[in-house]
Amino acid sequence: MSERNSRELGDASMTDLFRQEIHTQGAVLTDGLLLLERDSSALESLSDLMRAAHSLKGAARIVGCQTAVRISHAMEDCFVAAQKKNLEIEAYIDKLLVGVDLLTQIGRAAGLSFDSWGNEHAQEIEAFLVSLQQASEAHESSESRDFSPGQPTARSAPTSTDAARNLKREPSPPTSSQDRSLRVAADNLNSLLALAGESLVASRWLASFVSGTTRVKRLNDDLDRAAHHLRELVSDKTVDDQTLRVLDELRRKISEDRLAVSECLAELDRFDRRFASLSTRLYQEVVDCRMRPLSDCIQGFPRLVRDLAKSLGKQATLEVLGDATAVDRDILELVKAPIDHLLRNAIDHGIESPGERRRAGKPEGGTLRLEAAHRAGRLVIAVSDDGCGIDLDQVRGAIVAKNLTTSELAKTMGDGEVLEFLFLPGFTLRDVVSETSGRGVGLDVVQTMVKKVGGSVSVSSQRARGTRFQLELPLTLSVIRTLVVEISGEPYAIALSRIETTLKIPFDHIQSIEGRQHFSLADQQIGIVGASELLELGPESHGKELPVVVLGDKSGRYGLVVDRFIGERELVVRSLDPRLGKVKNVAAAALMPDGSPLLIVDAEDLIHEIERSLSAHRLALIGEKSGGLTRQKRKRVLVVDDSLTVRELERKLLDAEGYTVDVAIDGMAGWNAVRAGHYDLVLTDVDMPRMDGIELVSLIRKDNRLSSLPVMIVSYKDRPEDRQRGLDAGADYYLTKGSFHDQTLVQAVADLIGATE
Amino acid sequence: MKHRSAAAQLLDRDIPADYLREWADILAAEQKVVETKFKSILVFRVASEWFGLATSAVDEVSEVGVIRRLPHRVGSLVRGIVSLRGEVLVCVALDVLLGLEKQEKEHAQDSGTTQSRLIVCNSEAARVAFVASEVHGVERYVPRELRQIPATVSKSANTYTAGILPWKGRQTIGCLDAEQLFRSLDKGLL
Repeated sequence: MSERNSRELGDASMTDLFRQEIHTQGAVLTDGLLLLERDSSALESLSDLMRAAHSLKGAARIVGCQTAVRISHAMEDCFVAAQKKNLEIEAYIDKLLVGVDLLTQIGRAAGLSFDSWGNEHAQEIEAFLVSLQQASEAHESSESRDFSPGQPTARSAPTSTDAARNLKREPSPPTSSQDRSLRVAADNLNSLLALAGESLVASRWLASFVSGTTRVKRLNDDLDRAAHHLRELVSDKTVDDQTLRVLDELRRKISEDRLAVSECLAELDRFDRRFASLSTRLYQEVVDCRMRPLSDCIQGFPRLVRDLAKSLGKQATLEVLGDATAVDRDILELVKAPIDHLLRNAIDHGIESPGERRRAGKPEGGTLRLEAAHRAGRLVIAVSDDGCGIDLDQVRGAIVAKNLTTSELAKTMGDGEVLEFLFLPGFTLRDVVSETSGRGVGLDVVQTMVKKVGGSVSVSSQRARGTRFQLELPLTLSVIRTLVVEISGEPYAIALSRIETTLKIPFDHIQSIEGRQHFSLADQQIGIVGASELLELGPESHGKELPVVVLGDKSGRYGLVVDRFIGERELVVRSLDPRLGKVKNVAAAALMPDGSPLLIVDAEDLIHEIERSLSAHRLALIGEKSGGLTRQKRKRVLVVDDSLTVRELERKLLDAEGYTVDVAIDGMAGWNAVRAGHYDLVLTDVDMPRMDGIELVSLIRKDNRLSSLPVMIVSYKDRPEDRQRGLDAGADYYLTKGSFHDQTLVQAVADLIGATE
Repeated sequence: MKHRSAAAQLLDRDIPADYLREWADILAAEQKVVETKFKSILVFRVASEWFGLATSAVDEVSEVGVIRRLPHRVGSLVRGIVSLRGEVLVCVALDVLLGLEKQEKEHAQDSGTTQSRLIVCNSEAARVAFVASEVHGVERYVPRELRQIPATVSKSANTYTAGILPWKGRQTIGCLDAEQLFRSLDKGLL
């Protein structure tokens, strides 16, 4: 039994290895084939290809995947034939790439046995094998071969004068993936990071201990001086020999003590420096563990560019610069989609057809360039093309056509301003929706993603010369630069990337319109809200000036009034316990240099919250005692039901009566929502997944702040005991779902919280 | 030399006459039930009541550091977050869960005293911490010493006390049901 288990386990891990092998060798194959296609004289890459196909074949044999054996064997034959000049490889690139795809699919066919995958795709596989048949025939003996890379024919000098071609990426041997690596659970790495961070904190504590010890040394010096002085005062005549002896003994002891203390101090100082450098390096090393080269995420791109360009009748190649740039794993995951998008855009919008390019005096094949580098502590990724550039007048036209501004204003806009519009949701220059673009979802998605991690996107374009998109991203998500402020006596960190500016405003510079407070900053009126009020913390304390953090995005800028500024800090982001769920307005936690925890504010959340609260008019004025304005225009109702139909029905009924209705899909979601929002009434079903209505009602009743919130149960269950159970839990009203059609629901709601104005 | 022969003499001496019988009697006698299944609990005080939590559920006891409140969650079961050697932990208000808030107000000065400690528990899901007003230490008891909880407690909807242990003469320890406690905590965190 156990033997069988271990065998199965062994097989499973072999299969895993095989999948990894497909992944790495597939990348080698794709790279090599694309290189061959661009430069058919690059015959030395054939031996790389042969080796890759051969390794795959071997690996496939080990795990007993006959399909993969046949495919890789056929490909290998093809390469061997090409090397012996029996075959024009250029004609087979497409077919060979299909082979790579098939292999990749095998690698991805998780959970399936290889045989059944082979059976399902038998036709595709046969077609592929037949297409390569000719190649195999051209080359008879496929068994005996040696893997000496042959004599590399001296590579022909770059045919193009384009200097950039010299920078062309070599078919990189998969060094990065063949580096000896270990799999470490993310949790382990995180706790390692936490400990390394803590040791850094401990090393800083030592510095203050050193300065404390230095004080002891100074006191010792004082003591020595005092003793010396005393000895001078009591010259031989005033006291007897006995006293003098004691005094000299004392002086001797004191200088011994001085010596000992300074020795100790010197040693402590050395240790402090050693420890500080050690823990800094340890910390850096652990942070680096999270880094991977960019090449990990861009493997598929050269192929994507080629295929997409081909399908659009264009020619394009991708050049990659700086693919060894180290990037945090989390960032790496996130940048893939935006880069993918920008590349597709560049091919579709940027690169012209070969004919147009020829007329414009450019080489027929367009060049896309992906550059990555570390610059000033940020990761900069640029995607550029040598295509037609962006037609600014066309963009201006589109802006006006979409009623985003007037044509007069559009004319006065600078180029940079005009290009900014490209990032608006739903903005497209295409009239026709194609498979590739024109759907208007795109650049705004890129921007949203980049903003989410605290980065920025910029675009520049030159007519007929090309377009360049530049992403600026933080190197890691685990360390962020923040401004630490005090809110209600506790420190909070705000990511610097979200802060427009900070300033202190004298109290009398604050004006008020319709009960909303604001101040002017560079001719713009900026509304202000109190942070402690917003976060529902205790009272704040202000002096004569209000410290204000200006947060903002395109839709508006807001001033957040805090107690005081503490300073700029680089913080290691720690995620909060997932059991807490999403804590409103909080992004994560971190540790201060003294080891105490603090929270990192979720600026995005906060901005939304400010917008909501300003429109709901419910924030107290700063400087007033809290508990000011609580008037609300519409009464807010939360509907909790797992049935979409019921939810929508209730929402429509109540909406028609002038209530503002939010919905939640089960008790758990309802519980989150009810604590986050300010509701006047909760309507809940009983039977729901995750948390049922009864439990929700009892939770609400137990919560200090919510205990008086009216709750109505709406359920199909109409037996008296069901009703009793609901009312026992603390519901104010029990309604059966049959009562929708006759105004009962609306009436009951009006009875509980009053009709709307 | 002298010692060696003396030692040999000692070891080679004859067995006392009734030695074997004595042992046979001991082995044949009915085994006295010796209670060896001790349970151990960490004994701590919250407000004015003493509680015990199975030591297997406790990871460590540490000094109370700074507790940061969570916005929008003030007054709930979550008291805030604390850091323990670089790890950020949720600190729960055990007094709220056990319904001792009112007492806690009278003992408000407790949480700042030198006696208060942070107790870190390992519930199945993750670690969680709470502040005890005072930690006594580990006590061992045999399950049979455990007394039933009074009906006033057992009848209430949420009871986390599995039994009561007499302690130091007149005092008692309420032994907490760790599993049930953590279940409620996990749910209450959200």
